[in-house]
Amino acid sequence: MKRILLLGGFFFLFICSALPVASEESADELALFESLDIEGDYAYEFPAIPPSAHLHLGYRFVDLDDSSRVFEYEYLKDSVIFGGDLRTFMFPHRFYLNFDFANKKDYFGDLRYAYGDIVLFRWLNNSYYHNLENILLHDYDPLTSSPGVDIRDAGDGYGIGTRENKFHLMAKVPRFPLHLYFDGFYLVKDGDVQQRNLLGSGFFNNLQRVSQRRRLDNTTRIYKIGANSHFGLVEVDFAHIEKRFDVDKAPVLADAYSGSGLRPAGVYEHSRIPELEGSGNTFKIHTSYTGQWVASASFLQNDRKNKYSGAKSDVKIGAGSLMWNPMTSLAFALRYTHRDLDNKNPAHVDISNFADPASTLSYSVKRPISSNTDTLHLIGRYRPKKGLTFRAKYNYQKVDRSRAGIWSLPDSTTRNGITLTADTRLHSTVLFNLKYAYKNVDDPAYNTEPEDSNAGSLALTWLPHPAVNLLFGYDLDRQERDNLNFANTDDPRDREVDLDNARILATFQLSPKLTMSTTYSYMRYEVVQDLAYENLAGEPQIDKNVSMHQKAHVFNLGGYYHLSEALYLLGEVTYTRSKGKFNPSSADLLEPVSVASFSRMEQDYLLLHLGGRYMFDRGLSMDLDYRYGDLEDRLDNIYDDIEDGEAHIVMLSATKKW
Amino acid sequence: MNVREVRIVLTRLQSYAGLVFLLLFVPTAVVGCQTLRSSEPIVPIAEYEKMLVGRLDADYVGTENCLAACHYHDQIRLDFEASTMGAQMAADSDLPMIDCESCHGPGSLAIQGLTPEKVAVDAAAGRQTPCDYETLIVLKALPAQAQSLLCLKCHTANATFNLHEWNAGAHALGDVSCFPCHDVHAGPDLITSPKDTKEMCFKCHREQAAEFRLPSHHPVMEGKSFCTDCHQPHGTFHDNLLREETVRATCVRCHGEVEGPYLYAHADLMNDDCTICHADHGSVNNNLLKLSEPYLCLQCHVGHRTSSDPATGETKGVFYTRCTDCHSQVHGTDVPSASGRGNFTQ
Repeated sequence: MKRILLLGGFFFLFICSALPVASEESADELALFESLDIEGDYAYEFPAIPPSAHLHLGYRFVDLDDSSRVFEYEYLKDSVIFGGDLRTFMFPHRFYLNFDFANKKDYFGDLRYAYGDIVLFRWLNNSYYHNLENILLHDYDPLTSSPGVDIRDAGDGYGIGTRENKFHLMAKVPRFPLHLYFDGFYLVKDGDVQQRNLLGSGFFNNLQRVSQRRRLDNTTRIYKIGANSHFGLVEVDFAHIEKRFDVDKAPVLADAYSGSGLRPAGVYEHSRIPELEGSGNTFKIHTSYTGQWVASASFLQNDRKNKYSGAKSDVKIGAGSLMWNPMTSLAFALRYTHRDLDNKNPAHVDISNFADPASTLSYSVKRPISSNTDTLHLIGRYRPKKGLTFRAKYNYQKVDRSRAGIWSLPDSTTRNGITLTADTRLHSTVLFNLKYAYKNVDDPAYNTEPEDSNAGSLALTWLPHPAVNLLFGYDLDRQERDNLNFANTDDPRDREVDLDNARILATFQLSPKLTMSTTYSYMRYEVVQDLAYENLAGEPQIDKNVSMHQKAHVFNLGGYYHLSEALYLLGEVTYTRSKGKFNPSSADLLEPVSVASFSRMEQDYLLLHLGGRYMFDRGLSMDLDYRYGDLEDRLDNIYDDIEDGEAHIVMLSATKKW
Repeated sequence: MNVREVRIVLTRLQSYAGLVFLLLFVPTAVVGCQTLRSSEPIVPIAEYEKMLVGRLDADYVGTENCLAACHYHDQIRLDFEASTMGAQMAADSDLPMIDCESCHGPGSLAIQGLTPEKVAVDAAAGRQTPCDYETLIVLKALPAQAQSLLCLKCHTANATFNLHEWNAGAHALGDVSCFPCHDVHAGPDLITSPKDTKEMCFKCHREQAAEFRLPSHHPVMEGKSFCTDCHQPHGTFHDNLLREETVRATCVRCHGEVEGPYLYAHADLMNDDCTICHADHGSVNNNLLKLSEPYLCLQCHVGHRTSSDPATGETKGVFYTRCTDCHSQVHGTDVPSASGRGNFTQ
């Protein structure tokens, strides 16, 4: 909190020091302004603009084989489609409506109204459907009762509908920039999902995995009310935020568990989704955006409370930025953020045995980690001549954790990084970008974070002809770590990570009517690190230098053909091949079956899109749109979560424009 | 000094800081209000001459003088005048004033020697009367910061808080001006639809465009979620222009079912960074996981015993297919496991 107040103090000192300079500039502007004949020079009459509109109506045919995951975000049912827009500009009224209905789960709406600049209103609706998987739990040895499986949802299909609504209402005081505003965010998710979890006693001698259908219906509401204004040298904004997360159906499941030495057999709850409530305040202040010095400061406070368990989280943030532009070719910026995170929870939790309501079990709860984080960015930009720019950035971050010891985490983690960038125009048709970044971390908290990383990227853009655009880009990141931390192991362990990302893009305008573009992207993610496994005695066994390879190739080819004034055609094909596998070496892990065999993955994903429009007279047109998707598990690995799927979607619609 | 005394001192310090804040804030506000009222509306002034290198003799002639005789820009003019900014040209609109010369610079040199009679003669002959547009500001040749300055000049004085972090943000410092995304001549409706944002972003961010084509991805390519759902391109104090203060705060805006706080948390992973396990744009693995299970989890955790049934290897299959089949509440839970600890199985 002290640092946040200090930040505020510095901001006001800066404002005060800028007062004399700013006043002189204002006087100059005022003198010039007063010399102008505003009414005479700017006599104005709002133009008459006729309203414009379009409507379309059609039908969407869907043919699906196997998994709906082939079009992960399409509701794969036949449906009527319609949509349109309407724009009217009758000063001071402005009205705009755009809506698009693809099916009952998938629609979009954008409604705007403005009265001059006195009232602005916008409502955005975005609703879509997410097809989810039904993963088949495999019983590796049906003859043994444990480990066992209990599949209660064989063949069920799953998906979640998301309905997101955003509202913005702003009222302005006439002739003065004082705004009152309201922002609303209302998101509903409902549908059915697969719930997988562990039953039995929960111990190794009695493991029962279960998969079952679960209803999901929850609502997120975020309301923000605020005001902002211009106060001469500074502008300020204050807002209050309320957030609620409500679970409307099935917040928790209950199942029968076997007994163990630590808990009697009974019916206990599991997989609870807690309801939340929270509130926050933000205060923002900044100077003019156009000065040689520009400063901004933000102060945020947010709290969250888990309404079921009483766990609480409180965040306070002070952030500031300062930019100095001493000359056109040179600029410096500083950004600083301080974040206080305070987590609290009850020391105990009670759970009931639903089969025996009189019995309640009480368990202690570990105190959560709280932290203070300071983040600093220093950035410089220098443009010695036209077409050549250098940038340098230094990052510093320090995280101080409380109660980290009981979580086997370091009390403090410090990150330092530097990034150097050069952008140059080698020739009038060739652009070249180069970037290098180094990062060092002292006492990283998690094994996934490197101690040292070196990253670089280059991008070359060549325009050999006005109708040809070629681009090549390559990014790499090499990360190293030599002190991995596994619970129960003390020896230092190594880790290396290589990331590569290359892409080639070419766009050709083959004729005034025909444009083609193609891209190829290659992504590689390889991790090599020591892994630890328990043996029968519960002792960690180390497998050295186990690698995990993931690769993806993405090809895309698209074309647009404006055959005539009345007809255009477009087509696009995207093919993605991806695979992943890890490679243990210990015989214990490889015999009689390799642990890696359960998660081997190789899949192909093909998307084809063809479309066309024919325009008749009087604003009438017909559209035909065809999409094909094919998702294939190339290994047919029965253990993984990839399922084959193939689907065709055809949309035929007529459009009328006014 | 004991803890109680320290708290009292801190509380007093906070009170003093608040008092200092009010003492500074109120006079600034009062003086500032007066300054703003007297300087309204905003007019084209000094900065533009600095951009017109070597032609400080140009003068402002007004939109009517510039365009009244030339019909080449009629549609652009109509669109612009009908837009929110164009409406500000009306003296009685109560808005700050802006016109063509606010951005294109003083136009007297461009129309020098042109008369309504010459325009009429050209029109009769089917010709357009060219003005000497090269004497205007060559906007495309300006550095990105100068291009942005044209917009910021007005948007700095009207409490536009989406630009609060613009100047020190990644785009401004990366030589990206307002122009690649905003076209003031696009038509009378200047508000960007979220449907258009991916095309704007992917013009430069091609790596992310490829990531969105991976088998598991946020539905940006499908036009069902938008870059601006997570990012604020005008600048934030987060390095990646995230809308909220942390990665996690940005994610849980939509994924409230895993927000917490929970009694049994995943250490402090849930405090700020979901990207330790999840890719933000796209991944080859289901659920946007950076690596497939079980390797993802084994990076930090000791794996379960592997040799309890050497003949069938059954436990290997149970333990090394997906950790989350059993540890399904991996984001956190309020329900203790059978062992009484937070193993995320319940």
